Amino acid sequence: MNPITPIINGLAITLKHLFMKPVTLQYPDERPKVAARFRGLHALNVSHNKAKCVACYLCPTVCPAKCITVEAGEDANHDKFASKYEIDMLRCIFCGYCVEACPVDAIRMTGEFELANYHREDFIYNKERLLEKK
Amino acid sequence: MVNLTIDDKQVTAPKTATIYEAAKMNGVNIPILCHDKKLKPFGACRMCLVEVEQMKGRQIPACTTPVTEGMIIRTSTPDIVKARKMVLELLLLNHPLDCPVCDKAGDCDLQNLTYEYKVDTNRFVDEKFHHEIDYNNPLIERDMNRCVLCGKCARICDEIVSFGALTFIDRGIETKIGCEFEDGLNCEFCGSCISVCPVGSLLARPFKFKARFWSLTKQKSVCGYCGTGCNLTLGVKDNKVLTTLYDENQGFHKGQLCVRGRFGYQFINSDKRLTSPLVRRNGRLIEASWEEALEVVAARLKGGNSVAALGSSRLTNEELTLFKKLMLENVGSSNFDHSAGYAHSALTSGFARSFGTTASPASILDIQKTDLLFVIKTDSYETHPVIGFEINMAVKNRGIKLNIISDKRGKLSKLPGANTFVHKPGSEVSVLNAIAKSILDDKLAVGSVDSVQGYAELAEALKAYTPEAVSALCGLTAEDIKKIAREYASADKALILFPIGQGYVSHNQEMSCAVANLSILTGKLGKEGCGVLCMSEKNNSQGAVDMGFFPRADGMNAQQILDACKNGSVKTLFVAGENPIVSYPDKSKVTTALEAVEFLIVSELFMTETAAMADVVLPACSFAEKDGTFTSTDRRVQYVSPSIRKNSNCKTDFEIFSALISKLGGQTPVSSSLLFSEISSNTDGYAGMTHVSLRKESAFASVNVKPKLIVPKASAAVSSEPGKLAMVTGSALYHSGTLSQFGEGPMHVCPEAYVEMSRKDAANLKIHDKDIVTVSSPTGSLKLNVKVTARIPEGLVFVPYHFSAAPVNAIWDGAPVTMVSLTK
Amino acid sequence: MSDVVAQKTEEQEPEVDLSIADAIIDKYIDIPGNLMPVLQAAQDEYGYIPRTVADHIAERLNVYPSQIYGVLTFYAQFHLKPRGKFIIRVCVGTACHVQGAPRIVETFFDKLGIGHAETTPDLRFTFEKVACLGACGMAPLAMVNDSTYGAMTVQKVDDIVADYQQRPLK
Repeated sequence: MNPITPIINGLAITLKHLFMKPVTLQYPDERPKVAARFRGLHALNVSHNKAKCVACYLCPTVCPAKCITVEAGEDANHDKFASKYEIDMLRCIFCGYCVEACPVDAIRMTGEFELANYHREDFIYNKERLLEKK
Repeated sequence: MVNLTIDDKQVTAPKTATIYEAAKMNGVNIPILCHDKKLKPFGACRMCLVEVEQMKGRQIPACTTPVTEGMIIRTSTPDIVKARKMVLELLLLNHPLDCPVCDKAGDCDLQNLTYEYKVDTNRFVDEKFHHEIDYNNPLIERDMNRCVLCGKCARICDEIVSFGALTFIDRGIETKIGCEFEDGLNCEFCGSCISVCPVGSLLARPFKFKARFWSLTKQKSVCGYCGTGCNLTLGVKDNKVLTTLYDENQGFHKGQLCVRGRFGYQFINSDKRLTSPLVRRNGRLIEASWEEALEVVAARLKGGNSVAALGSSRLTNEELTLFKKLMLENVGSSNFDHSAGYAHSALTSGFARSFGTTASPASILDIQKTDLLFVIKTDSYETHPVIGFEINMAVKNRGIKLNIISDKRGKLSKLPGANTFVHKPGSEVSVLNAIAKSILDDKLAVGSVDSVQGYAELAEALKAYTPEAVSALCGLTAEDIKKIAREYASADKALILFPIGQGYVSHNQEMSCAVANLSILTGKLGKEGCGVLCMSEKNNSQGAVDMGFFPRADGMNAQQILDACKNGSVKTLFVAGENPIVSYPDKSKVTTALEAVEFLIVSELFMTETAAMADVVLPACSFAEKDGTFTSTDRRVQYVSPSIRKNSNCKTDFEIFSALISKLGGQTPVSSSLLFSEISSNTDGYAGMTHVSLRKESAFASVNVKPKLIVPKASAAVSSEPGKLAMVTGSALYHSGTLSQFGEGPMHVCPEAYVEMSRKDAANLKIHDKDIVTVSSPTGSLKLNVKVTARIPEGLVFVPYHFSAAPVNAIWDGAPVTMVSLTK
Repeated sequence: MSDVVAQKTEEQEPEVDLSIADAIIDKYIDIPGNLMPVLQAAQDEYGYIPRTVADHIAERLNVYPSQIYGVLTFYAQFHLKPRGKFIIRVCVGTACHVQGAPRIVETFFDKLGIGHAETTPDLRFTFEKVACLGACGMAPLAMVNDSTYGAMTVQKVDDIVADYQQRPLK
């Protein structure tokens, strides 16, 4: 074969791709479109200005990575609520079992995937941080 | 035995069994909601329906139907499954589906059955209940909306606890469980109702929302309060004891517990626990290292006979043995004692003389096997509530006769057919002697009794105790005394029970001899269902006696030790686990003695009044953090293993004593199990026991009785003084010793000392319930809350002894009866 | 512990003469199954079962106070609150309902200012809705103590109330 042919073929491909939509994203200037079923950072759902979580302990029970810590408290109406809700993102494997187990639809997984931090303790998301995202 | 077929399986079952029991015995599981093996069959829930071929395919409840020969039973035909599903649907019609917030989830019979029978839809619709939820009670939360009306709580409260706090109220669809006039619970708070509730209607409030059932580690242990030796299952999570769990197969008591056992566990993880050794420097207790503290202690222990020790009967057998070794071999002193020196005298001096052994010749199991129970002091219920449950069941279910002599009425007096003979306080020994006299006079004694050693002397000495003579001073009629004697002697089997303890001064060696005489005279000894059961006060009181942790001829007893501290002949006092300032009689005497002693070492869990006076305080460990053995009142030896890891800066008393022995140049034992094998070879009746065997199953130490009749000396009758009332002390139902003050449960329901008095005296003195009065005796005065009750006879007041805040020993110098005056 | 309860109630309720209860209890004390006759006799004497009496009976008969309350609430014949001198019963059974019983009931409520199973503060009237009085032919039907009033109308309610208002209480 003519030694020049592959080079021309290659250039042809390059040329073709010049006029195609690029598959890469210019991250962080361009943001990916996250699918609805993507399993990113957790969020605690809110209803009536309160976290929906009733601290039933099903998510820490089902969690295969044992990364969820819940402590229940009793509010003024003697109702159960999570006085402490922590997820250790360094241990979390984003399996989504916690969402599946939740009987009151209190936890969901958002499209948030940028979880980098400088300190280990910043990876422990407490209740306030989990509530922030709406 | 009858033969029957269950699910095509040929099985046999006892004649008395129900279908449910027969099935269970043979490994066939029939679902139940309203049945409990401790309770009488009820048949309310209809979950246990089965088909019996002989009954033409009708569905019948398995829990109430007795088996008959040749029965062919099917437990899970499609029809039955359908019926059970329907039952569940109907229950779930009104039951709220709030499992996520219900603490019962995971341990809930209804939840489990719903899951098992896949009841995920309901064909019916109805409104849920809107009963008010009782959040106010500090120990038991009642949510009647979740109730399935199985009635187990009301039945256990009646059949076993015999309190009857709960009952069915109203009828039809409005039926609910509640108290009289919709009041809040005001009961013994034993929590038996919680333990049997199949749903989340009754919940332990101290444990509310703390953890899920499935996340708890279940640790078997032995209760650390009274001498009954109940088995516990502790629910542990993250190295914390969060609750006690119910296990119906545990112990002779089948998991039944009293308020202290069930709700008094908080002292284990209390944040008031001592966590560092403290050494007194410039008058203040300063934190120090263990090395430092033990060095100081070891130096002070080199004093021979000028060193004395007071141990606690809450220590394990191994610890007590080691403590004794430390004192005898390494310190060189035989001055050691426990329980104020007198609380063990019924065993160490009384039974030692009468029975030639320091243990009771009867066990708790004999209560169900006897024909007549003769109880001395109704306080037997308060001191040992779970033994009280046994008495309740014996009297109510088996119709066992119950005679009580006591200085006041009590819970036991309310049992059906119970005869309570109320005598004047402090006259127990006279009454018992008069009973013995009456037995001799009426020729009720066994024929061979005159050959028993000491018979002649006793017969001679009893001449002064004719029922007529005694009736004049004890307040019982001669006929009463004769009747007690007659009934006791004529019963085939009879068992005598009496409590001992620091609050029961008159239950001493004289009384235990007088009691022993009755059983020897009538031959009610050494047979099943007969004998005498001396109910020891603390979890290892019997063990402390078995280990010989009490003074010999050459040693001083607790009272002498305190005197010697005062006059300077004892220079170093080592107190392990006792709080003499609160629990010993005569507070001022104890305080002066502890102030006078040159050096005071205290090993404790908490900064008690005694520890606060110490020169060195060593932080010790509770029963849940150590291993060892406890010997219960009927000499059942039980092994406890650590349920939680101890705080790394605390040491068990075993470690403390070991360290001190090695510092004093002695040989320390390698482990507690090796020490126990030494104990078992040296101690009467313990032969063959090892930690390994006890871990599997507890064992009774045998009791070898050599009966001898001893002349008991009755103390002089207390002369009444005009305008004054006779004060007796003792145990309150909710407490045991001074330790229960650190258990939140008991403190919720009985937070402070009180003076209990009769309605008549209250009316005479114009004192009302809940008033605060000053109780004055020759030794001091004390402000106490008043409780006016029907059980106290005129002229008597009762003050419990557990409380540091209002210690009864400020007005009580150790006399069985103290004359006091009450002023508003 | 029952005595603790007894004390609590002594503060709440008006003075009740317990000697009447004592006399009743003395009569039945040795008979097994005496709770029902004692409660019935006590209700006849007091007109209802005051709490102090219930607690006193519990103590004397050695029955749990809760058990007595269970019996008292189970049977419709026992009353825990004072009852009026005149018990007005209005039938709300099928026939009466069709003939307009709800209107009659409403009118009684308005006139007396009380609801079902309640008693006027002066202890004159107690009003009760009942399921059937067995005289459907006279529907709608009302009864005051032992007198029957058939074919009730709203006007008749006024007359009945006015009539019984006149009568002496003692």
